[in-house]
Amino acid sequence: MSVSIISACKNRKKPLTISISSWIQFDEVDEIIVTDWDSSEPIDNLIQLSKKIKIIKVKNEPYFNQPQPLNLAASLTTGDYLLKLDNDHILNPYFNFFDLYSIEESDFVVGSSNKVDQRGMDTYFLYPLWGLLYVKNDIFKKVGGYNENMGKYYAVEDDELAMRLISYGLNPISLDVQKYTALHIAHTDKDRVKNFESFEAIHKILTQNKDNISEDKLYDNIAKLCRTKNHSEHPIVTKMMDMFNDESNRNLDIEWYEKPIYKWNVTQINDQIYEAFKI
Amino acid sequence: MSISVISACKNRGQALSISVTSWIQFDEIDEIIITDWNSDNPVSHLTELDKRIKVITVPNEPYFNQPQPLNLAASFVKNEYILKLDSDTIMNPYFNFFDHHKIDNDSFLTGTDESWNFSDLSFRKDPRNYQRYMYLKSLWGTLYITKENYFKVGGYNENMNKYAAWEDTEIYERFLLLGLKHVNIKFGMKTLFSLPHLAKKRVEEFQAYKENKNLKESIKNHIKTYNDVEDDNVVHKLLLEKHNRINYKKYKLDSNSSYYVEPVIKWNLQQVSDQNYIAYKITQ
Repeated sequence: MSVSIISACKNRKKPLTISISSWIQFDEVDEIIVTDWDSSEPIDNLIQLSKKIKIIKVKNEPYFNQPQPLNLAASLTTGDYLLKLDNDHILNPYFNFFDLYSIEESDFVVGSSNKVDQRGMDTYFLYPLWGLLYVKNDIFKKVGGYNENMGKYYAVEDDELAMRLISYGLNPISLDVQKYTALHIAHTDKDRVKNFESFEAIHKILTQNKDNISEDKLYDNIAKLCRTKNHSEHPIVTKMMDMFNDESNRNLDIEWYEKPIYKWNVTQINDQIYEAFKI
Repeated sequence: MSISVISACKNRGQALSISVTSWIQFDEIDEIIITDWNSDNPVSHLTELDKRIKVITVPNEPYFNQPQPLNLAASFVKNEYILKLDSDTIMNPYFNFFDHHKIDNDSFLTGTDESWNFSDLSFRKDPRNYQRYMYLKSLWGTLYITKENYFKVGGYNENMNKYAAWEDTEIYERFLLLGLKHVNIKFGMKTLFSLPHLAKKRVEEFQAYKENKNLKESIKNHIKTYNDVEDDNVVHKLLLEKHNRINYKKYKLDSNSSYYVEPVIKWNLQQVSDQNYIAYKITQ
């Protein structure tokens, strides 16, 4: 079994340096492909940590999104399985993720949407793992990967892909965060949403006539509104999730293929560095 | 402000190679001094990560302890402040520890566990309490202190080298005897967190664990009286508490105790490269 890790980065070098130091320790992981989405501080020097690491550099992208850089990273992978991790997801060397989730071809593991608000301070280090995805590589590619129509707003692209994988016929396994195989480096909601295209517009909407709102509350509201906007612009996601949550009548018979939008011209600079341009 | 991190490691290279990448991200930290206590897989290569990292390798040490390697690392410290971190303690780059936690020459800071009640022996004997143990909050080994005060008390108590634990509480009590004000780490600030691991990792390298098998057997028998607890991890958590208790009984302080404890070990040091050293104990 060989695993390829994919991750998308924009201005997250600090947490990525810590996380990637954990990813390289697993023998199961053959390659780690990170798309650097025009970070202001380059991340090229991370390749010195391990030969397994490959960086794809994309320029002239002022705003972050997850689907495009992740599909680009996935296009270079060769592993049997794909593990998608966020820049702030540490794999714990003491509790091996791959031992716990030796999944069948018909399964996939998702970070899922565990509720953050009821479990005390540990939540910040455990529950924001919902962006994690572990799936057979050929099936990821068969369903078209992440939906590249999404990405203007933060969030929901992970739920959308999960629903299509279920529709394809896979069995979802929720990550058990209390097994401590993965950890999340805690950060503020501001760090979560600030690099997205929609950020300034939503910030403006939510700060009009609200002088007294705390910064934490403001950015929590921005993250929530991003989710709402994504659902309203992609009503099929809401429909899919409603169908999935209706256990008495679960019939997720929807189109599972989403055609990628972007084509890339990828140039190899050296063994571990690539440059990619949108065609 | 300039800070020296000190840390002691025996066979924790996996955790250390993650945590040290977090420590080097803080400009406040001028140097990181790690004592590698004869790890099976040496950690001397970590110096390649950053110029600020120094590794002191101590060969021929079959058993781990914290005080001796930590005092050895502290003897290298050039800066005004010492921050002692465990190999598995990660500094969060998003919430700067040094912005949220301040000390001066009249105070010190530790990661005392807020949820633990050491004085209640019945609480500590009940294995069910160990199942609720919070892994991420294992920060009690953290110490932030001025160099002057560290050496005023003689550093960690080097006599405590057989059983795991209590050395952190013991030095904490001597800082109180010195008259310093204690400041607690607030886990809620999210500045530090610990890589979760099984309790066995905390004790398995200690002399008492390897030589005194009866302790473990007696704990196994103890938990048989609880129908709902049959977990090797709970056995090791209780064993760690037993080690802690043995050290406590032997080294507990009272108001007449001195805050100063004389270091026991003298060292012969050899510099191997700019950032790597080897240290041998000088036999008395």
